[in-house]
Amino acid sequence: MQRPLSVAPGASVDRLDTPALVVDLDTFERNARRIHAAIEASGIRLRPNAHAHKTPALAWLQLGMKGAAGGVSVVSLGEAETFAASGIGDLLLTMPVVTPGKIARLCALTRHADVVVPVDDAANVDALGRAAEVAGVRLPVAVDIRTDAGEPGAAPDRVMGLARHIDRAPALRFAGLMTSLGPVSAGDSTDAVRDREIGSAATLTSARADCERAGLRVGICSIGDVVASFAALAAMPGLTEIRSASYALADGNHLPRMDGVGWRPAARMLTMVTSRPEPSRAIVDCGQKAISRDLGLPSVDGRPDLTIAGLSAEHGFVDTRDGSPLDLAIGDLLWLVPADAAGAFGLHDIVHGVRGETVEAIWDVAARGRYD
Amino acid sequence: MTHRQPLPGTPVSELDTPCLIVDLDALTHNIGVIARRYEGTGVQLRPHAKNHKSPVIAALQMRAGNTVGGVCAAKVSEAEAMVNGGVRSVLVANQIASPAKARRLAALAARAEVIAAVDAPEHVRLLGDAARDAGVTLGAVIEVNTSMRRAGIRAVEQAPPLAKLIAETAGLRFRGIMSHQTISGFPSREERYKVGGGYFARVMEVKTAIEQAGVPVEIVSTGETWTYDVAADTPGVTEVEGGTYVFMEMGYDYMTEFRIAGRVLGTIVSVPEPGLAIGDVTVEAIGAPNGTPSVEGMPGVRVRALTHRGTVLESDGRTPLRPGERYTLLTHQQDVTMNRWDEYVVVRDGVVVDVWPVAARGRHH
Repeated sequence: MQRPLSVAPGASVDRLDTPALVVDLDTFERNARRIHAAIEASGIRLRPNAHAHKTPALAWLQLGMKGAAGGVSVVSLGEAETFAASGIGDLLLTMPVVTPGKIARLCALTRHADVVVPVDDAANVDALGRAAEVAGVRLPVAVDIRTDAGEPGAAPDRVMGLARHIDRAPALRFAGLMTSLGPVSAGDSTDAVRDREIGSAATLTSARADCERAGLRVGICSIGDVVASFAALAAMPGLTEIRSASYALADGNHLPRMDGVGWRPAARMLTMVTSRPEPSRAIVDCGQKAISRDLGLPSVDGRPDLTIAGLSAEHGFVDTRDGSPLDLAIGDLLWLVPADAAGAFGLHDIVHGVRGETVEAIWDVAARGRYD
Repeated sequence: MTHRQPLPGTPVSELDTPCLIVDLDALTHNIGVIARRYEGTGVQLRPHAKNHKSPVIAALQMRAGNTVGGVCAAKVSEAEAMVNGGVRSVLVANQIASPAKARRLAALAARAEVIAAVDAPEHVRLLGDAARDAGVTLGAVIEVNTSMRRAGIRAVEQAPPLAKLIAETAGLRFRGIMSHQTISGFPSREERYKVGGGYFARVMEVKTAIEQAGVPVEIVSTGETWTYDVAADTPGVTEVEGGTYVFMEMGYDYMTEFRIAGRVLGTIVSVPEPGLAIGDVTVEAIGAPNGTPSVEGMPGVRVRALTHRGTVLESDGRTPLRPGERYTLLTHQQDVTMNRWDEYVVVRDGVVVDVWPVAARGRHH
């Protein structure tokens, strides 16, 4: 368990023990409102992907905004359990639940929250149906449509068959349709990301029309995680909700591809210079174990002249880009912008909510480590 | 954090996934290899706790013998976890840059031998102030850069004045020097001896320079798993900061005397097309800083991608992929993986024997 030096809410942000995970609440709220405002008039709802921060307090901030769906999406059943325990009663799982042990947990959780589970396989529908019958619950099940090569989901021509299969199972309820987009990678242009999002949405809404022609009621029609084309998707008839992980946090991997200009990263890491071994190099106390380099290196906020030359497990390497002498001393503080905010949250037990220069709240990253 | 722990006696095949398992026999074997190698030599192991973050495993290492009776730690809060777990000596192989952290380290020195690494006069001042305020003695070693361009003094001439400063600072005791090195690729034994031996020669130059200035050097702490044997054959090295060897990783598999002891188990949750599957081990659950993990025991299956939603597995057809089937991933950087988990599920012969907390997980302060 993490054990930073104690800093109470009300303290100045520069008192935080480093490395410290910090969310700037003004930025978080501004980022989130901007997307909510872009879609609000359309009737489509924004369902935050809570895996992005794993923090119930942040999820509740998002759900309190106009334009938000009634709940969040999550990746794992463990995350679903955590957010349900925080009082969120509307959850969308985005990965199938296949093992008997996990299906039993899902049935139990259904008594506390409405949890929609995706399927892409008829045998999985049967397993869910049998377990729900034994548990005496009715599970809402969505057909996952595959629109991305690296994601689960049924091919579009199998969707109708699966929907009917769910509809026939007495202990299941056909909840609707969903699709998941793969991660944005460094080489993707904004246009490529936007085309992929709109193409996937078109496949989804066309499947919806097919289902409705066949007399199946489609409750949700959900696409995620969206990065680049909120406004365009909001104008597409047939979608009921857009899921997004990145929109409020705006991390380094997503910032360049987000819809519009003027975004600021909301999640940052406060780090301290611990060594000045060379004129143009500083070593900081934030390494891979505190910020991760799995999906990219962080950048130094407000210092375009500096670059993160590398991260080892416990250290970060900060260099001047042009090799000129560095103006930092041992004990100085820097702000790092994670390339992958979700990965950074996954390494911390607590997140500091900061407004201006003041620590406003300290929250548990309650679903950290809930890979299960 | 999950609240479910498997009971002893649970077969590995029944564990919920994703799950980090530790093979107790392999772990014990690995610990024994270095303990036996150092028998009768001038060098001892100072196991690095950053790799396992577990006082239980630290105790196994010390019980196996030929250690200094203490550990290395990467951070102050990691050192606290080790002392709280019964470890009596900790070398923090990192620089203390704030008065608050120095105070915390000084508080720890009331309960254990505490040594910190320095590479500049600022560190000496911070540690000295904190030690005097707390009425304790903190040990200090000079970190010497030999291979990574990380922290550490860059030139031999920097060492004698810094050593003297430490020796003259009330509250501090100069203990010696430390240096950490890496090697890339798959070196042969000869290459390891040549490259590692070259690094150690530079460390010894620093030692000699400090001694010539009249300051005795008690500790020369250097080397890792890839040089554990080189260090034993290098006169003057007193202790080795070995850590990777405990669990091992794919990047070190040229060190054939050690066995893989850590694995992450997953379950396939979707097979959207023949030869392609999505499993439940996410990028957060294993980490991929040095490339995607390897798949064990499934010929022709490899990890195509690791994302926040799971593992994308592809098969060349030799091994069919089916929903509900288990798979095993081997990490390319064990300490990053272990830091993602709250507990080790310890197994022997396919059955759970115990669950150990990863006590210092997340302790990056």
